[in-house]
Amino acid sequence: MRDRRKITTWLLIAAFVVAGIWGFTQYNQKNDYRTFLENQYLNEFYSLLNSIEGIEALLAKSMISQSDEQMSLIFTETWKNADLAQNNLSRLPISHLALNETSKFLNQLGDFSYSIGKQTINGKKINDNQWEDLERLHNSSSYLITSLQKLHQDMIDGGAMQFGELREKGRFALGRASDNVIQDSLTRVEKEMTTYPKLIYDGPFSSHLSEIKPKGLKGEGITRKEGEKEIISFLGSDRVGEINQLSRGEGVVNTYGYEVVPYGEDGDRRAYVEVSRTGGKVVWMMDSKVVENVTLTMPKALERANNFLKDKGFSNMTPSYSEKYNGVAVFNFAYEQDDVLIYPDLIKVQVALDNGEIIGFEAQGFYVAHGERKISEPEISLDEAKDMVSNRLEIFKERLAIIPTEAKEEVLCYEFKGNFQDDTFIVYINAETGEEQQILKVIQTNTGDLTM
Amino acid sequence: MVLLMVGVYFNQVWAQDVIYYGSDSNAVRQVQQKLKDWGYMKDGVVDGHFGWKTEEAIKNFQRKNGLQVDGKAGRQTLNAMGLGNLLQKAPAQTTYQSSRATSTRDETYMLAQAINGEARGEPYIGQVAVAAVILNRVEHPSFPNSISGVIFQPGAFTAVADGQMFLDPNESAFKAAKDALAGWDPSSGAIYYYNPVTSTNRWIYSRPIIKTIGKHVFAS
Repeated sequence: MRDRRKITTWLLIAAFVVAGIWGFTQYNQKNDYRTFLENQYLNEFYSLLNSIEGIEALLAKSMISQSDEQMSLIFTETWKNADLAQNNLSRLPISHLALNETSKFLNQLGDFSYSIGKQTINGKKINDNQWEDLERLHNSSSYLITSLQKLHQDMIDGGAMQFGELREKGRFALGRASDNVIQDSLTRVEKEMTTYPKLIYDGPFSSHLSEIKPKGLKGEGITRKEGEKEIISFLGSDRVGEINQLSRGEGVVNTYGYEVVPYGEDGDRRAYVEVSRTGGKVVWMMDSKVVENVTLTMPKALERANNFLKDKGFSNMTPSYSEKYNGVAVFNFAYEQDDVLIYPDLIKVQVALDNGEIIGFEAQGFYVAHGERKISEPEISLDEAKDMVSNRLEIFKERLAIIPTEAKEEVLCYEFKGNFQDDTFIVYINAETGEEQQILKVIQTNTGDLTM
Repeated sequence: MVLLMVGVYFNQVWAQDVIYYGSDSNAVRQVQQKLKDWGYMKDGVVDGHFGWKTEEAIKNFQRKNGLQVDGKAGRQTLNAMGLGNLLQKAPAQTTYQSSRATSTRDETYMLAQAINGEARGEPYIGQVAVAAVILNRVEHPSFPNSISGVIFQPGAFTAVADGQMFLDPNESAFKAAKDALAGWDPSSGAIYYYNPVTSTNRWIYSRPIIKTIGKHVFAS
């Protein structure tokens, strides 16, 4: 009897000891992680401080620099620093709200520096408005430095750094700093470099154009019911079972949203459609169908897409690029007029590769940009343009095209596709000035060609 | 006992009359790609680096095609592969490295994970919309400029913070990610979304609402 009690007691003691050791190691491990994490944050913070100090100095120098080369270098450095600072900022453990304005400031500073840098390379002088903007930017960056340095001081004064101190104090400090940072008075410029490879022209140039009025949608406002009729005509009455109303859309194009239950569907498959409130056109459609067996070839799928567009009244649409994934094929079409390919007028069609059904459609780009265009004659000839292209590029295809610029304008260009070593590039030469307007690199993936 | 360390020294094969250890990575990559496509190299990687797996694969190919089995891609082997053009190439005059095909797989995977974490159980259109919000943020000046930057921004997505994002995404999440990358945006340009039933962030209610999809309200 006694023995059993003794064993139980010893077992209990052993259990406690084990639990104690476990707890202790857990505690140590936790502290290790905490320290590591805090160090990461501090790293970002110091890098941020460094970058902003760099920016302040550079902007100060830019005020007094005279030479174009110097200016160009200064702004390229500034752009790089702004980018880095923005990166560091976004990794701090501080709520997005406090960082919002500062982040925007850094982004716009970056864009602005980039475009001024480009401008000075071309010998164009900085105008008065831009000088003012520069001064403002410089002042804002000084404010930011003061706040960050104060934050740093607070953290040091506090003695041993507490975990989460950066988060607490940082939120406060950066929130205050951003009150002094001026945003909207900066001339709006969008970045040109894209950050991930995309299907061409939806893509390096297309972004959400929130201030633009759609050119391609004319006519009366429609009712919900009329929208439904349009859907039936678009998809075909044999495909449509029930139509349910979904939320309205307030965006570049104002729409009614609908959910379509396919005819005879007893599962989860649905098609979602948005119809424009002005003009009653289907702006986009997306079917949730899952394709199991791929039996259709890409050329056949392209044929289906082509026929579909012609059927819906879109004429002169030329396929430009394509992608294939998860049993579907996506084709990009651009409008062609007078032998010029007009990329902003973009429509995308998704074809199911089992039975050729059209399960995706996207025409917002088209409806926003498409209108009557008078295309002027190019100022320079094809051969002159070709001379402007680096002779390291082996050109295999050429044509005229209209492409959107980062300022949301359209430019007529000669489009040259060529190879250099094993890479394919597309070079655009401005048909009026002969300048190299844009260079795209084609990235060949196993799902299609993307550009970057 | 004296251990002799024998350093194996591979010669750079400049004239490209055989693809073997040390060959130009460009050429190696092309050979590897073919072998991979045809199933001769099951667990090797197309990375431009000639290793034993590549050698084995070449041997497999040679065996299957009645060629001399020596693991070296010489004139006959290359011609049989349809890569005869590699033989004509003069030694590279520049040090230009032809870029590897940048895979969109990492972006797609990340987006699919995010969709899975944030919008599991939502209608398909809601999933595409969530991915579209992430992409919209990349373009937007107030947010980080990369997909990973947006997803991993501290505090931005609850599924990232609580680790739900790291589950294996399903087929539908992948397609939704691809559709968003291909340019479909059912959110009409939104950069915020929230679930009004569970959201504790009061500030977000002040954002102008664009629309509602499933359980999420999308705002700008």
